[in-house]
Amino acid sequence: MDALTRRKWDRAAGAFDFINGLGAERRWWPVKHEFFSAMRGKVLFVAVGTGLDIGHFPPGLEIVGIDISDKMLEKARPRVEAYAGAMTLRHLDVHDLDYPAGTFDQVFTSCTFCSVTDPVRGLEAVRRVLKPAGELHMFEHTGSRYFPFNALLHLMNPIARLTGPEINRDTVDNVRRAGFDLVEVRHAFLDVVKTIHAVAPSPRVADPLHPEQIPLQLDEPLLVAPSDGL
Amino acid sequence: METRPYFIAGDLLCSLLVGGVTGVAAIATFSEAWPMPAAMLVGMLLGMAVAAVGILAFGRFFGMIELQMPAMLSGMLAGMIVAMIVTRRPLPPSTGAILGGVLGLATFVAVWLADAWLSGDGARWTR
Repeated sequence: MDALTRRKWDRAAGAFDFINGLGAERRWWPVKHEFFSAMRGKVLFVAVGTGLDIGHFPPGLEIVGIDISDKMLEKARPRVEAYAGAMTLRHLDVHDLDYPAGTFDQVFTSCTFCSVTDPVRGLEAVRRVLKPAGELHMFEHTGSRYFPFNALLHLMNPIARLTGPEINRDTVDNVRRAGFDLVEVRHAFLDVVKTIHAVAPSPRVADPLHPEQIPLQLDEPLLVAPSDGL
Repeated sequence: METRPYFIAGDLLCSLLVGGVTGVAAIATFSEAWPMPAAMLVGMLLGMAVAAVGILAFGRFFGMIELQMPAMLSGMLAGMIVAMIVTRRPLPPSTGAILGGVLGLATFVAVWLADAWLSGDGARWTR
């Protein structure tokens, strides 16, 4: 487990809800509500934090929430107990996911991969625990491709990373580099706050992360229709 | 793109205040004795410092990540422009406040328009 990141988020846990629980939650309520409504089957939620997002989860699902900070998990526990479904918490770093390959139907993240130390390795670990064609849904803030926003985010990043996340990452590219097939990216604020929908590739070719699976022979590519606009 | 009055008002107010306060601070800091490039650079940093305070003050109510873009750019622009003018001729603090506020307003509008362009339906893509 990455001790430095763990300490950083343990320190942040005390004031996390005070800073993020009012304005940010209210601003992103409509986007997040639609985003989390896509939850289906057995779900892994990476970086559950203090559980602010649990209120958006559809009821009746089997969800595992993990977080690197046990102080965050302590804060999340009452919200987990209030969830109308089977939700469990684990103190776990995303790099060290110890679930068997192909355990989950979906993985959700919310402002997570701005803070994961090695985002591509973390996303590869996520891909391993997803079933073939399993879905990755991310609500993330990232860097920008456009001036002056990209320059500003690069300039501010050294300060931001001291207290919390990195604010200039190319998370969409990290998802690609981790071997996911991108389905849809939707910008929620500039090109900085966005939702990313990707799928773990079906085993049409031998996959080193799922060596036990026999490659399927599909003539047609997998098509996933985009959802309606925001 | 943001259309809710609560958040538009919050982002706008923060940008106006950051721009205005930075304008006054720039007038208090710089004079004709400063070389213009140095004053512009320090003015930009001064604007960032003022914006950081504004973001901390307003962030809880309006969301820090979204607030920081217009506020930080307002501070940087106001600091740079007002510092540049002050190295040429002295300005009263009220003019600095108004000029900074106008630059804050302009920055807010520019960011809002950029958001309308980048986060509209045209920005959604599939692959």
